[in-house]
Amino acid sequence: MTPPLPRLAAWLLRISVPERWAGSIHDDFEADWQQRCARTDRRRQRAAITTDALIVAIGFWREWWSLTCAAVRRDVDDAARSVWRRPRHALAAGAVIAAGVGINTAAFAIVDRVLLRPLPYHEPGRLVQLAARDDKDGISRTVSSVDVEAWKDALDPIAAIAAYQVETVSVQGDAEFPDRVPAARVTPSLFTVLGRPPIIGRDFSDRDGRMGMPGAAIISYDLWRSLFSGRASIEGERVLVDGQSYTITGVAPPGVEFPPGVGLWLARETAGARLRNLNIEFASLQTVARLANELPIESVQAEIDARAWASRRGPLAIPLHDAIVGTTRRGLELAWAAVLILFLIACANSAALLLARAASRKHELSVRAALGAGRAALMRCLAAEGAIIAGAAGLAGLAIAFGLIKLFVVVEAERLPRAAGVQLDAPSLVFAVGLTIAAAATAMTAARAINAPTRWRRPEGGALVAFQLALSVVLLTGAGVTGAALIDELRQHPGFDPREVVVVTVQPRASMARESSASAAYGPVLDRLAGIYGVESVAMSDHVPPDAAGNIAPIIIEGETAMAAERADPVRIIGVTDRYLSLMRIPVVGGRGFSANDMVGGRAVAVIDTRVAARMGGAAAVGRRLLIGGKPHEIVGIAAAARQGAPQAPAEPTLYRPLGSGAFAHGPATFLAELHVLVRSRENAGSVIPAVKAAVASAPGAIEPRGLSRLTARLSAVLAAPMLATMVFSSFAVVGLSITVLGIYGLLSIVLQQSIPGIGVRLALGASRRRIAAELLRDALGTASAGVAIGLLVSPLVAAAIVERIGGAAPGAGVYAAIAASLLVIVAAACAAPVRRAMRIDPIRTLRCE
Amino acid sequence: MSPQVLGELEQMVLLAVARLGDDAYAVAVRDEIHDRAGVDLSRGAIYVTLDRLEQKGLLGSRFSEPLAERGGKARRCFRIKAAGSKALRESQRALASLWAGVRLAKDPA
Repeated sequence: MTPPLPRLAAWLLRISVPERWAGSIHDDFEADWQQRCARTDRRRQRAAITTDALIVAIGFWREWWSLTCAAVRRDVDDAARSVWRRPRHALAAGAVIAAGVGINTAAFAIVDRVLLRPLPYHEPGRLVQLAARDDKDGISRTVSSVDVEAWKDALDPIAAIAAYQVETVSVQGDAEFPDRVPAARVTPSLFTVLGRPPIIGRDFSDRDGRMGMPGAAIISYDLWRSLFSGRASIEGERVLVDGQSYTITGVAPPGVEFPPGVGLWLARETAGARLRNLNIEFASLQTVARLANELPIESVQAEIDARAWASRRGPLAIPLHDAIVGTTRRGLELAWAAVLILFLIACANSAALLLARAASRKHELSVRAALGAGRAALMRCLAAEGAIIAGAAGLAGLAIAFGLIKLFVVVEAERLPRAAGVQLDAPSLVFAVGLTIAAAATAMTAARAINAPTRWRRPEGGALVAFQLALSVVLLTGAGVTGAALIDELRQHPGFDPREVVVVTVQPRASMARESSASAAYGPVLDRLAGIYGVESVAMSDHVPPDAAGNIAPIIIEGETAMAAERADPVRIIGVTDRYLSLMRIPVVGGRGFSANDMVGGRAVAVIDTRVAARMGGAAAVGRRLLIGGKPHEIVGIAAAARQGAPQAPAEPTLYRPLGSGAFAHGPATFLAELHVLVRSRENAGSVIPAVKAAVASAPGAIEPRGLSRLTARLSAVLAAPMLATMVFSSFAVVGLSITVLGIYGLLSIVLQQSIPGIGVRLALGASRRRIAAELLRDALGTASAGVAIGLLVSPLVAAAIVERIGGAAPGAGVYAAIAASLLVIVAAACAAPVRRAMRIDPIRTLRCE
Repeated sequence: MSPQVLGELEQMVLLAVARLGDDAYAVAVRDEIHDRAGVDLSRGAIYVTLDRLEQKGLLGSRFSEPLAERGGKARRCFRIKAAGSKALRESQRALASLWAGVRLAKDPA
């Protein structure tokens, strides 16, 4: 008996030969195999017949491939011609998909970079931030050096810990004038903890930053490129930071900016008597620690809690990624959800538009079918049209995403952690391709219209419309909730009057560093400004709202223990001239404001706000003393609370002290810092701006103007960020709603076009036009109501999720009613034109056509 | 409409089928081409070309009576259709017309 055909040969024939051969090739091979088996070299024969089978398989596959390619080419040609001939619906569907793909890709790039991408440090999963906890479960991310010292040795799961404090410094690079750079004073261990040593030069050593040692600095890669021209010989160079000389020991690797945005690291020491001796100006620290092993955060916390802590509770370990991203995560997740909803609307809408397009081509498709085109061929052509439209739209979407990302980086880089690195990179491109394929798959479903070429598939179109309307309700609810939260924010009074105040930011020219007093540097300019017609008063300060940065430090109140001082909230310390409080319209509620005498030195005085006063027993605080940086100040007055920091941040307790006692008293070292001249005009601030500019420009070689703006503009510039969030939601709602309305209009137009013969017959038989119009409207509004009802069922859940994340209040029933009513009105408006067309149908003409 | 242009392989297979008459199955077609034209075609090329010609409507096929030497299995036999004959004639005419008046230089060797 002959053995069966070799298994591989049989398998190759089975998978490659078309069914129409009904096994005859296999039989030929078997007959051949029988003859071969008679020969002695069986193994060789087996190889030969398997090779033959492979050649047959390859032949059939090649044939299939060339036929398929030719068919696809033909379909694509046909489809492209068809799209070109009837571009209206195709353009609309393409624009909708492009918007959906573009916005989603941009959102993905942001979410990927900010939330999903691991931090650019060695084994980032092992990095945590340690926060202090009090007995009432209050958490403070800023901790004292005492805490850091205590945790350093006591925590077993922690391999290394570093502490840092962020401030803005002026750095004299290669340019003529110093630049303002966000910097961090860090313990020498920072780069060891991050696991990313400098690429040029050396890491900080334990000797760096000790008392008596020269200051050491590491600069970021970007700063090295921008301020120091990327010199390879940078190590060992000296740099002036706030007027003090530091030695550059190294350059950090590209992308390593910790904490985010920092461009310069200055070595400082946590250990030792210096910090224990309450050099409090530097004692509000944040930490970053490396775990000995990558453990779940819960078990690390359990290990910390298991230890007996002598005086207070042990620290809370927060994964570093969470600590950096913080509350941004919630906002971004919300925004991404909104964006995905928009994409779903876009897909549903483009599918509806293409479905309508296919249905409107009933006549053309019937002719092609009559000429011999098979149903499959027609479906393939329609599917190819969908794919072409989606593909082109995908490309346009990429361009939109590119623009949006650029815009986002410009607007949000300062505010959002890790935002500066957002770009259209490989993962985003893959995501965009995925979206385009999804959109193409949806668009290609329009080919199913061919299955019912004689009748409009109303249920399917209706479901798509209802789906879009439900999603629009959700978007509108989101816009409402975020908008309400923003309005809440805007309503909060800042505690000062920003109207008609002009801010001139100035920096002394390098030559001025030799001067030693404020009055010498600024006196003539201030006098000149005060003399301008229309100017009410002039003052200076080293901080202007809503700048979040500044001098925020703990203070010690006389009689308070050092430990209590460290546990209290840090205080924003602002140096001002005597007229500052009256110029800003910050009322003095106790004691007195500053006088001109306070500015010239002698007794160090301070005015505290009501929040600091509350810590000191209210009005009784006047006359008491407190220590700032170890120097005693007498409290002479209490001012009303004013929000000096960013509008979103909690208002800090604030202390004002004469500008002379801070910036200038320390001599040239801090003299190079920026200061602000505030000018309040009697009427319109705009009218004094030219004179202010001229006065500053003609100041005799004294100061370098850095910028001029109105205080109101500075405030609204900061509010631009939350406003942007609301704008995003609202504009998405508007875009979503617009494309939904467009879809409804398109679908209804097609339904009407299909129904013209029927309507003509009914009119000829005596039906009233009004009744037919009412029927059309009822159909459309019925579908719309179903969609809106579904949306209303889901929306309270969405609103609750948003409120949980960003605060604000859940909308009441009235808001939902307004949303539903306005949507139905919009739908009715979209129906108006098609219905009016139905009313104008001429029955005689219609019957004649039939 | 332009005449259906046949490839060289297609012409050879069609001609072999025409020559073999009722006995034109794949192996016989291959042997015929080998014997007459001296061209050794792979089995895959013969099957694919036969399949393509049948899809184009130039060939028809039927199964023969079961054969004892094939273990009682039938062969798939091909027969040239009218369209196939016409296509062959068109190809012959086209080639003849191209050849007409052509004088090739003598091989220098």
